[in-house]
Amino acid sequence: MNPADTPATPRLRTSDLPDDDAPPVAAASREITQDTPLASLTQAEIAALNERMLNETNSASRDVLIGPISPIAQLRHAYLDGSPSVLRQIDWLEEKGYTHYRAAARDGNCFYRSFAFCYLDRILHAPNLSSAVARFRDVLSSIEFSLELAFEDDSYKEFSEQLNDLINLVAIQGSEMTTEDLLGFFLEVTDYVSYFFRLVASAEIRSNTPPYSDFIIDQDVVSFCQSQIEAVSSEADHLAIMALCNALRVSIKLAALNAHLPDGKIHEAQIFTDIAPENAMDKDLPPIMLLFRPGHYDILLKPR
Amino acid sequence: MSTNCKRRLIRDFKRLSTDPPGGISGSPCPDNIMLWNAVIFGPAETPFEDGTFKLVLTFDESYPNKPPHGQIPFADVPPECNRWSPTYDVAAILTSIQSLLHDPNPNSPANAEAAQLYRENMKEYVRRVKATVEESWLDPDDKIDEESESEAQVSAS
Repeated sequence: MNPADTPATPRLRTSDLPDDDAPPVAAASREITQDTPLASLTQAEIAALNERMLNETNSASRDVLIGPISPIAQLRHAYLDGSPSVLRQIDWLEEKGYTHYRAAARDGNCFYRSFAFCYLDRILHAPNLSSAVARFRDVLSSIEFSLELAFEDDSYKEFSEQLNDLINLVAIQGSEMTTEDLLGFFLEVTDYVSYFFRLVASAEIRSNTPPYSDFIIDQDVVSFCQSQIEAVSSEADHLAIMALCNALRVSIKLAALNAHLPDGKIHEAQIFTDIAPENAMDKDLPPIMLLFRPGHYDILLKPR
Repeated sequence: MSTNCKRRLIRDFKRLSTDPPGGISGSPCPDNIMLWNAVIFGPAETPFEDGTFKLVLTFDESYPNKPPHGQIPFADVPPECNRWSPTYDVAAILTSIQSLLHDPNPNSPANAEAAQLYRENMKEYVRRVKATVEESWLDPDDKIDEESESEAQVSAS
């Protein structure tokens, strides 16, 4: 609904609110120390303290949401005790050229965050940037209809705008931008962009239900989407990943480390799963590569 | 980044003002948009009926990617602790708190005492809720002691 079409009511007094970018009003004018009696704190002071503490925690953990490029051999440490099978798989990946990875934070958003960063990074590194940007934008505008149907009041736009802004930035800066530059911009808005991809997966399942409905048991489609995809702490399962790839027409190459792989020669098919929709529009680009260990996704890298 | 959060809170307020769901109201403090006062009317046909519950919601820059924090007297209502979704707005938060008054979830308690009474001593639970309801009619200034004792942490993320 366009706010301009809504008749004003006498209760609406948003003009009283501070400007969007006005600095927050300092709530506490006195200095609060350990000796300040807790009972003397006003609600505004408690709010200010809370906000400061949360913002400090957030900024401290921000940089590790997607970690630096690290040698995959570092992962061996976690499996030295009693997981020879996983060690063999890590060594196998390294031998085959998958020598590095980026760790994603274990906060329930690892899949969507890793996916979102790879999605943008491969636009940046596409051989023909402007045609790649155009293609990715086309697909994004083609799914707007299902997003509008699934989420009332255009509530998804708050999140899609952040992705569009990043794509515009990639399009403008092009070869002047490095992957690390992109990572910096991405981390500023990572929660918005990662969440947008949850909405994309959810809208795909809601609007194109038949291929997915057999996998949704004991729940209707909407409550499945709300509790298993849209809730920020829910981890991505195979269904959500398929839906995301189908909606965006992109391919993922997923390496899954398996603690119970039988002894003997490792075959590629035992490690890798390709999720590639038939109508994928990114066949000329290297696929998004993710490394799966039970309960967690990281970004897998194969330097050229 | 602060503008995203504030822009969203302004939108939430516009929506709550133009299309308020029944039995709830809320608005930001005039000098701090990150701090909201809200009122929830107790749902009919529950022990909370006729109560008017004042609630302070505290937002930080992580909203809407993380839920706000808030407190409501003697009630077992954790709004969306682990089911938070950033498309929820203030109207949705207040509505869900109101509906949780109706249908508490004592298995994931926000107020351990309330949850225990709900499970083990329904009569006492109802008595305590009614006392809280009656207390909600008083002006904050006349409020009898021990109010802080019975306050529940509404939100955890």
